Amino acid sequence: METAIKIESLGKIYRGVKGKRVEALKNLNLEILKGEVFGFLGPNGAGKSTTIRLLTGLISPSSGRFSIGGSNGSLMNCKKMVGYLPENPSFYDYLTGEEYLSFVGNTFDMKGESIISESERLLTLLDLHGARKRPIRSYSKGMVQRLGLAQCLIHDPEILILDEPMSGLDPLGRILVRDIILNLKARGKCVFMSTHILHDIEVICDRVGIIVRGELRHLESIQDIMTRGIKGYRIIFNSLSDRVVDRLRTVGERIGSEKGTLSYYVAKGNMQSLLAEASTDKVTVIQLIEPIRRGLDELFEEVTRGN
Amino acid sequence: MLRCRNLFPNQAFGIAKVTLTGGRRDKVFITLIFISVISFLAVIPAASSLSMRQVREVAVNLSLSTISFVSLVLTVFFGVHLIYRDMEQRFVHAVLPLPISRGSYLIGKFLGLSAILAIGLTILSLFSSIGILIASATYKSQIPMLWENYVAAVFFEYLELLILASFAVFFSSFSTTVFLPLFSTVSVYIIGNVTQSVAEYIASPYGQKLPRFSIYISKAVYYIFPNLTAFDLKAKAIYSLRMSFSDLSFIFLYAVLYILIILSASLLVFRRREIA
Repeated sequence: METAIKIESLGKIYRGVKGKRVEALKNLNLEILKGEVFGFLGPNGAGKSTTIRLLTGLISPSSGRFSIGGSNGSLMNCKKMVGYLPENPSFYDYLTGEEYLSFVGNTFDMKGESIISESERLLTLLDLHGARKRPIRSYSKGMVQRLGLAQCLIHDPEILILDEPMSGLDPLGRILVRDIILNLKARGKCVFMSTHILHDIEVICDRVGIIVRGELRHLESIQDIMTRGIKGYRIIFNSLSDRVVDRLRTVGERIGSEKGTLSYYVAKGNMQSLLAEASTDKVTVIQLIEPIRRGLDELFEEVTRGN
Repeated sequence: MLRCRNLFPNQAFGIAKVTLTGGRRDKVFITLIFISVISFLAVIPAASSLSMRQVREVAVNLSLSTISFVSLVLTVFFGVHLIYRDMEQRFVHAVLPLPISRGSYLIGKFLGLSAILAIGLTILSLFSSIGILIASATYKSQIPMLWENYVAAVFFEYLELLILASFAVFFSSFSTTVFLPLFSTVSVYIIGNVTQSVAEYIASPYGQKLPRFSIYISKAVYYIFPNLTAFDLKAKAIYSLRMSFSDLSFIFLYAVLYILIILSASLLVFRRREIA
């Protein structure tokens, strides 16, 4: 697969009052592929926004380099390929939503007709069509967030950089944005997003990077995290033989009983032997086997606490 | 000097258009223009008639002074907020990641402000002309009214404001507060209006008696800051005095050159600014 965003040894040092140096980003190396949804995680002040500001040209790197869509060196070419949604976006509030989208479309040298048709489509998709002629200052936080998504989609970019895309959205808005991102993924677009909502990362992202105090501490695919993260299984039995019950006493733990069924938790390492025993037993009937995973929240906690 | 190929004119015009839209919809702009129009149509003709024999001359004087004051307020108000507001309200976080260079952004902002001032001055000039015609009808002046002088006075007032606007952009390009651009721009206006008089005093026998250090400082200030008195053509418009085309051309070129230098300096500073 082709590389969409390549970051090499990127670093940023801020110089504060009295010349105090703050190393906000340390030697970041990252490669994000086309068609990939990458989740960038980290506690507050970890360096997520600094990385995004570097990628969008708002600040300049102290060391290292990056390329977007293979355009080495030219920031303007990088910008043309990217749709960017800032964190807590704020747009010229005296313009209407429609006018703002027209302004953004013009900066990407889009033709008048395509600006109009794309604006219509996106405003309808994001449930803003009724408010399109109202000044942005009259929009709610969620509406501004959805307008932010519309403005970064208007030129149908290959790469999207979304800083906290779910921020300020109600549950329906979150579902809408999640579906839009999944649709972009299906269309082979690259999405680089930072968020604090771990569930969204699990559902949307292909890979996740966890950054702590300016350092990338963990990089793994969601699939690997989910597979590797299986701690054990919850097994629901319709009926059990005494032999299997004895076995479960040593390898499992009873976690409940309901409507004539019994639930047990069995650790990952004991599962195979238990299943071998249950399969030879004619009395024992298994209704359901459910994997119990170590969630992304546990991994996040582990990485950020430095375990 | 500005490198035009780096400015992406389309993007600069996009920013200018948005800035102009913001200006047109601003309550300060609408209110100031509305109050000025009322004063041109009612207050100035009435006040001028009190002067008995110089009604038209006083009307022209009052009109040009009102235009100067209102447009100065507009320039300072919009000029200092031009970039500061975008920074403060985080509009730049959404705009600068678009394919807009910092140069296009800055030039676009300046062009937008220039357009706001041009619209403001055009409205003020039109209504002040009606006011002058009303005042002239009450008492016939012995001096013929030269409207081209009036237009020239307003136009050179506009050039003066553009110089001030470029200073406002320059101070805003690095300032993190609104106060620095505000006080600095007002200071440039005050200094620019007194340097000519100071230079003339220094050149006089009295001035030569001043300490050498003061003379050097005064001369430095005279050459560094713009000479805004050159743009004041009020007397020529009031008394319909002849204007020299070569003088006007020289003042025009002086303004253009000054604006280009200040905008180039703004661009150099703004390119390095970190938008955190």
